[in-house]
Amino acid sequence: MDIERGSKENSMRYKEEGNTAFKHGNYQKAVESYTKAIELNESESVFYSNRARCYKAMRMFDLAYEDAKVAVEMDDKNIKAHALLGQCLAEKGKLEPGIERLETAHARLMKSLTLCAGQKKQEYEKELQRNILRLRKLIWFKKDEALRKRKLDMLANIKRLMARDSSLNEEERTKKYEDIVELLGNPSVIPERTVPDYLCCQISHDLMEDPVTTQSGYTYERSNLRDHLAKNGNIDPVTRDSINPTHIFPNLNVKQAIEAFLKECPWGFEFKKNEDYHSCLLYTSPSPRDS
Amino acid sequence: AEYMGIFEPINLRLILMDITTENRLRKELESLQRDYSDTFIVELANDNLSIWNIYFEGAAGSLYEGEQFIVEFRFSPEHPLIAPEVVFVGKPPEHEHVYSNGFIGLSTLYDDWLPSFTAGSICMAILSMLSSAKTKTKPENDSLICTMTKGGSPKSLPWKFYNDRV
Repeated sequence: MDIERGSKENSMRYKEEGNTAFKHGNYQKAVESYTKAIELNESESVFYSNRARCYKAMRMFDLAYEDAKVAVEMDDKNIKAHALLGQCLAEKGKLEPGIERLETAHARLMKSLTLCAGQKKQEYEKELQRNILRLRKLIWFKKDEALRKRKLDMLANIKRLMARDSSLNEEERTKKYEDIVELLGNPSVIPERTVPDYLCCQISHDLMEDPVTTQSGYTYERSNLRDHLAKNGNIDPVTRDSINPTHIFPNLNVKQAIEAFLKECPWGFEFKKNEDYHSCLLYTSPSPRDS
Repeated sequence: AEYMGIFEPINLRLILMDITTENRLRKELESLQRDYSDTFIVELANDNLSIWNIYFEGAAGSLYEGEQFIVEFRFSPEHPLIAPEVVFVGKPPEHEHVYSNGFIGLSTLYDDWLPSFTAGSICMAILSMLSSAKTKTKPENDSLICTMTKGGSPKSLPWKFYNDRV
């Protein structure tokens, strides 16, 4: 009994050691610590998901995946394990031609998100939401590229078939072909994409995440408005009217509009001109957190 | 005489900027190049968007018609919460609010700054300021200001604005 209890305590100590090493970016050391913890106590889901987090930070996605899988099998409610599974799948899926793996990754991240609501982990929820929106953006770009390729192939086929039609002369053939391209939408032309101004913060000009409105009627990203008030006093950033900082309200309709826009146009998240899925950044570096 | 930029030479790469500021500046740059392409020409002085040189001509029908000017914008790392430093480089226009060292007595650059202002709107304000001049004169305290601020930034001055006068 004493030996068992001692092992449990020691395993927790190794876990803490691993957490500290992770915080300092010492991923290899963290892996070693978690491994020692697992040797003493192999039924703690969190040890595996923490180790997975290190492997992911070291971009060893296969090892991370294995550990995350074990963690999830041990504890289906392990939020970080589900999220890590999703992220590893997404990294792999990014390099593949189809989107199946990316969609599985998305499902994992959504599962993690629903678990957050149940366990009241709002801090983590925000970061997870961003990862989900980035993944949706990546999936959209892949689908868009696949669609354009299909159109190109189709047009090549049509051109070939038309060449065999002797009832048309050269000029008629070209005109008919151009009509078809216009109707289908020229796949080589990437349409100009912009994020609507009315969904953007008046300070950063970026799509808002937590829109709030002042007495002037203008809407800003909450954190930007807060920074402005701290720096420039209680005046409205657009009208210069004086503002009562307690009279700042969340703009629920704009928030809904933003969600609807992103559903329709996933490319609008963290929008950069001329982006494609190669330049899509999937995740920011991991933020060390205690588990 | 020609006056080059009056700031102390600094290592341009040391100006750190976070991603939201950079995004906002990139958007301002695109908007300026798209909407004001025939009035203002922008040149980036370095690769992190913190220093811009903007070329423009005095407006037709104004006292400065045909004259060429260059303004230098130095954006704060906390742009747009903090106003940029804006000065004329090269030969500044002869105007009652423009000092011989390129400093500009425009209240929107100091007390009246708002985060909703952009490089474009400031340039328009400067162009307007020039266009509405009735005569060409130097500011009253021109030589005093120039000696006081040799090599310093325009923000080192305790600007005071009375109505529309400096």
